[in-house]
Amino acid sequence: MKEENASRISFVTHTITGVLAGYLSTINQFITSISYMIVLLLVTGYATEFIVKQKKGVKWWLVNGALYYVILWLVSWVFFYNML
Amino acid sequence: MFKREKKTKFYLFGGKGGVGKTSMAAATALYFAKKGKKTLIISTDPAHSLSDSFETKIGGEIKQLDKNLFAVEIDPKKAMQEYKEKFTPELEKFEMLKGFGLDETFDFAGSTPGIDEIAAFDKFLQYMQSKDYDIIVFDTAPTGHTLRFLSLPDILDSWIGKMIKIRMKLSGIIDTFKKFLPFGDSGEDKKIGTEQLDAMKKRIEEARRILSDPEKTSFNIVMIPEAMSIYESERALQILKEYGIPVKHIIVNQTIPENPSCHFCTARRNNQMKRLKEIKEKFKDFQIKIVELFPEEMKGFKMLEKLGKKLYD
Repeated sequence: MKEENASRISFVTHTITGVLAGYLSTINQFITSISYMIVLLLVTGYATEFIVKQKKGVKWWLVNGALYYVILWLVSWVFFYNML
Repeated sequence: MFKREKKTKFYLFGGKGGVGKTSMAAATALYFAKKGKKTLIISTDPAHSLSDSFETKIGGEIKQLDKNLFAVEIDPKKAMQEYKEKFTPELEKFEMLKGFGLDETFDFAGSTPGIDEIAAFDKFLQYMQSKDYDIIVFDTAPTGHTLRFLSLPDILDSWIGKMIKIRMKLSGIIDTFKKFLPFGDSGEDKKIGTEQLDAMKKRIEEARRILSDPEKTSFNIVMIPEAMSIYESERALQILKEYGIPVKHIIVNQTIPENPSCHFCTARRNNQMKRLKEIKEKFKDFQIKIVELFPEEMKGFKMLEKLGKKLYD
């Protein structure tokens, strides 16, 4: 798989699950929310690794997936918390 | 055809301030250059006087002064600037640092006490491993500064050793943690962080090996026949022995020539002769070279050539 495609897949999966994690966080307590966020992040990471089928290293995952996930989780959590 | 690897010889000149180290170093460099040896003279003294000695502006970049003669004055500030340029691309990878102001971060690192000395020492190591010259002459700073400079291999070696140990321990913990993360255990990045330290350690070890090899290195102590200079040279010799740096020559500079018509000169000469006797007793294991005081100022190519011939012919 090309580098660009791997980055795109990682971006898309982490973006979607990041927003989902943000929504799930609004229906739980703070500590539980954080735990859900971490578990979902790891699951998404392993799922992406399975799709990409390449050992690209933890740094690559942090830059191409985990970072977007955390930002979107936080933003969407704040958004859903205020909207719902 | 294979290019023959040059066996570079190193000449270091040290001694108390104002005894004529720069003149001796400059004369030595010029002497070997005139003999057809490709020679580089390096000033490690932060208060450079090599330019004044050769009556030409030298500066921090290698400058050709004569057919086979090259010179450079290590500038700690410039060396620090080069350090900054060397590490800035590495630091630019960390976006977060930009937010804090990269320059400010480096200005802080650059103001650590002794960092300029370490940057200058790094330059010194670079020149020491140069294979481009037959002879490299070091005009060093007065004794105290030079001895501290020469002790840097020990200090840096122990510091780098500890840094590598810490890095290895940390990377062990991080690697274990990484195994549980997605995309972990890729096998890459394992050596990152210790490579530069390892390279620096190797360079220090190489410099130490060169400095303690009497076939390659000759440390020359310059002194004047006066009590203070003798005592300081004795102490310097002791410390150089501890560092394993071989001392070959003791150069006794500025001895006053005989002049019966001048009472002052005779009195000074008599005093110097007493000190000279003391020097010959104290430093009997070394080759002692006596250089008389010249009527003219010791600067410019002509005078340095004259001094070089006195020293080595």
